[in-house]
Amino acid sequence: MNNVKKEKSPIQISKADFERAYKKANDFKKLLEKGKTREDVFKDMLRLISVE
Amino acid sequence: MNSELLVNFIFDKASQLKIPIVIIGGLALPAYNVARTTLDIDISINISTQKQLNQFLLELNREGIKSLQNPKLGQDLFTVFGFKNEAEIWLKPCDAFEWDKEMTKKIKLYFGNIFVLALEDFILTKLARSDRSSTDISDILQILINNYKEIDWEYFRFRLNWANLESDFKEILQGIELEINEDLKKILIKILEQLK
Repeated sequence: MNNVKKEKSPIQISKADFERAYKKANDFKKLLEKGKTREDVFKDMLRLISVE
Repeated sequence: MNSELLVNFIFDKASQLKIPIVIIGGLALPAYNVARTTLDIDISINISTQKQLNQFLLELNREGIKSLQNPKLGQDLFTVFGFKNEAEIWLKPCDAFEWDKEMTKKIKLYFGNIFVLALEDFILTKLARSDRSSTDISDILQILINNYKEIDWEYFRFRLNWANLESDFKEILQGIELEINEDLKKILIKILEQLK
């Protein structure tokens, strides 16, 4: 097991960061309410990455 | 869709060889009720021998999925190319820690043949990253907001301790001292209570 803690940048979260995260989290819930599934979202994300 | 084909073949081959495999990174987020754009396909496999890794690579090769590297067990990751797309395959779920039995046992089916890490372990992969960014912190916050009722707190506390990340996690919850939305504040209070 390698669980040595490395030096990371400090966590600094502003009020705006919290509000933005809360809004985005709720936006996802709304997507599900509209009938999108988590699988749909995964496939949409893959489609955006895809090189045809 | 090419990237979907690539992912499906990689997961199929791992499944045939009984290799634990999960989607990690941004692409795994919808499994935890979060979404954002990402440009990467990140996958992690739990492989214990070079022979097993070679067999996996051989099987992928037969499907036209190739690595230009000569992947070795001690590496963090390697890249595979196929169907005009590419995926990064990590031999560790996070650059800060390796697979262990507990983590492997807890991986969960997302859909089809696609697996993801347990919610608690996924949060840990974001928190423990050596190049942790504000995007990782935002991902963690969103995961917490949409999943705090589903978290196995006993396991999560154990994992935070295992990775020496309790103080980092508590730093995220310091937002409780800010003038934030009341509903969000209630969620953070509930999470803090679980950490006591």
